[in-house]
Amino acid sequence: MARIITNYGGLLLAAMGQTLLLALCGLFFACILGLVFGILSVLKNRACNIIATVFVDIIRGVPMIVLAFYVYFAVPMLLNNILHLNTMLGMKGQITFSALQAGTICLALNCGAYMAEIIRAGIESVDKGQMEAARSLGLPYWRAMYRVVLPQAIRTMIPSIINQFIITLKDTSILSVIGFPELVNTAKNVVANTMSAFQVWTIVAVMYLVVITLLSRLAKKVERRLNRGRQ
Amino acid sequence: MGVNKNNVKIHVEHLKKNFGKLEVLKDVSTDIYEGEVVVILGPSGSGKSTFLRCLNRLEEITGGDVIVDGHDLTDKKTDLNKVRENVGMVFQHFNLFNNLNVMGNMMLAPVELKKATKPEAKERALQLLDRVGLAEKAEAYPAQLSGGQKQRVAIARALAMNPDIMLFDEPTSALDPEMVGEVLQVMKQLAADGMTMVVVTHEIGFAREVASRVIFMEGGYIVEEGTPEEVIDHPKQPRTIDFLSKVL
Amino acid sequence: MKKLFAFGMAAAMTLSLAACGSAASSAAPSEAASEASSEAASSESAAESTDATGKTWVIATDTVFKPFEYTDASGNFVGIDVDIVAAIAEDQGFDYEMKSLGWDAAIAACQAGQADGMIAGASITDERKASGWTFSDGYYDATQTMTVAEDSDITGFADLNGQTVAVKTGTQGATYAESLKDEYGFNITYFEDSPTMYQAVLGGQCVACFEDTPIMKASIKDGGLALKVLDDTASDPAPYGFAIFSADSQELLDMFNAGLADIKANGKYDEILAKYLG
Repeated sequence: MARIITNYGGLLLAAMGQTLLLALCGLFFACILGLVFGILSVLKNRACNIIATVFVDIIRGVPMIVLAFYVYFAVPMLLNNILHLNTMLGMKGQITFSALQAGTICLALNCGAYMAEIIRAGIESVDKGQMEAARSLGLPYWRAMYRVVLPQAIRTMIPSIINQFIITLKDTSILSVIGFPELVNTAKNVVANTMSAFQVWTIVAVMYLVVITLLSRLAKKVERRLNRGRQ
Repeated sequence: MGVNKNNVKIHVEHLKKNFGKLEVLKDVSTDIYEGEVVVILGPSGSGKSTFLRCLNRLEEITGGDVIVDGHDLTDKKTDLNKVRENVGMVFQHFNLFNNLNVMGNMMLAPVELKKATKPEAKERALQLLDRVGLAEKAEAYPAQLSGGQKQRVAIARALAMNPDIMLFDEPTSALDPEMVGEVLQVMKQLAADGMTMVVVTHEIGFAREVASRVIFMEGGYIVEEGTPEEVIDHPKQPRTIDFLSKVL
Repeated sequence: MKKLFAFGMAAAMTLSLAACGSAASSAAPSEAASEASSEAASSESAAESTDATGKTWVIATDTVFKPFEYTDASGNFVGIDVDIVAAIAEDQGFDYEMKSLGWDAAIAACQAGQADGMIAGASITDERKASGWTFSDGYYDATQTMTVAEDSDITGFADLNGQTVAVKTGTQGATYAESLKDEYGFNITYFEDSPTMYQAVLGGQCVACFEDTPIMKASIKDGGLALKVLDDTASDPAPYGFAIFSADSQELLDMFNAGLADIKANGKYDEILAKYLG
């Protein structure tokens, strides 16, 4: 174990950095997607509701490992060989995504779908009298949403969002299949080089545990701060 | 101050409202004049709350016309938000914004809609809170207030927009009995100041004392209307007599 | 109540694991038995000639590492490793069970004592020995070559500067690429299996991949892949070995070495290589 830490500790730490980078990129866009599709699903407009439902159903119905292969391999092929977007844009080579780009797209789509559901439930949990009261004062829908409904919805959503963030952080390991050098991908290399499965996976488990515990603590603190003085 | 019969604030003509197949308002027509205090009585399910909610179009209108201060609410070109700025509404369940303190509740709409600068809105809010007897609660959050206090803040919040018309949707129904008085007191004061008010309530005493006109609704129609004396003390329609015999 | 639940969970997990294990392991010998070719001796036939101790050795392997181990078109688990073990077991007269667990799980199974040894195209390296593994004599000398897309302009390592190449985790190809990386200034992306690695070159995500020369050539031919092997990029040959983790398996390792020498001498070894490498 000590030998592995000495020889590969730096490599594994760097890989954890990549894991966090990917998770952060994914979560950032997931929040945007989640907010957009979450709001589309609560609007009083059938077309918007259907768009949101289809998005959520498709993403939830497809395993992320499949999504990863599609985004990394199939989408560039579609753009290059069928739509010929590369020649249209005057590019010499082919359009490709880096593993980080493809990974970010996958996480954003996957986590975004779940976030959309969390946000929809959060908005629906706010009494509709709040929106009515705001509208009765002459506030337009979006301003009422932004100033009155969303702040209340977000407070009820925070535990679920934290949970989703942690799941997403762990889901980054799925993107090992498209060669993104995150912690699990790197760990597999270390396992192969040393043929020391248990030692390496124990180190990896501890690393995940430490990072996730710290993040949960931080999130709890944020949650408490948001709730202060309200009840 | 009294009723100005030359100024129709709200004109309602053949108003219909359906929820799906259910006809809640079948054919309602009336005019509400400046300075009038109209109290709407009726059994539950009579459509009285729906009628009130049509007056600022919180409910989509199925048919007929509602014209508020000359603005046709059924016309797509009408800026509903502008109309609503002048029509305050008080809800049965208060609907104070839970994420804001009392001052935040009072200042949100005037500042957001550029009716006042922050300092102006704050000054006005303090005056109104003083008027409803809650000046010391400016920093409190809704969860820290009693029901009666919440409803008084809600009235003050609506008044912060300087409306011409105030709509009250069963403002005392969700209150403990001992808190009803403080809210009615504020409403009486408002009526005395000449505010045009439409009040859906079960408080017969309030109707008798304050209303300039009482409307009795049942089954989606106006069954009977007139002065409190006419409708409450000398009702003519059997359904009005029946209803009053149960609540008095 | 809580204890009962925990017990139930444990029981369920044990059952499901056992089911998985038997499914994976039975696939190899029973299918192999149906094969007509005599050199693919099955564990069942080996079972008839039990060794002195009557022990059934558990040998773990990868799922797909063509042509060393893979499932053929008719669903049989076959390959150089599979046939070599069968031939050696027949020669030495020991009983064995082949478990196709996958590379990572095979390592873990040996470390946990659930398997007695593994054969999965594993290169013999000092680092692996330092982790406590013992290797047999080399049973195959592998050379690694670089492969690029058919229409690629890349002709050698010098063209790789600033580019990204694909390798498969845990392979000698990965080690070869790592040894060249700094000198030629390229990046490495690690994939978990060969098909994904090939796809990354075909799709343009990576400009080249590193793979066992015969494996690469066989894959290009079998799959009709638009790739070409750059023959003059080959590495020095490095041996693959059968590996054990526990000292209790020393007997198996000794039998493997003895059997390997025998089948090399009697021509069986060459027969097997010829069968898979043409």
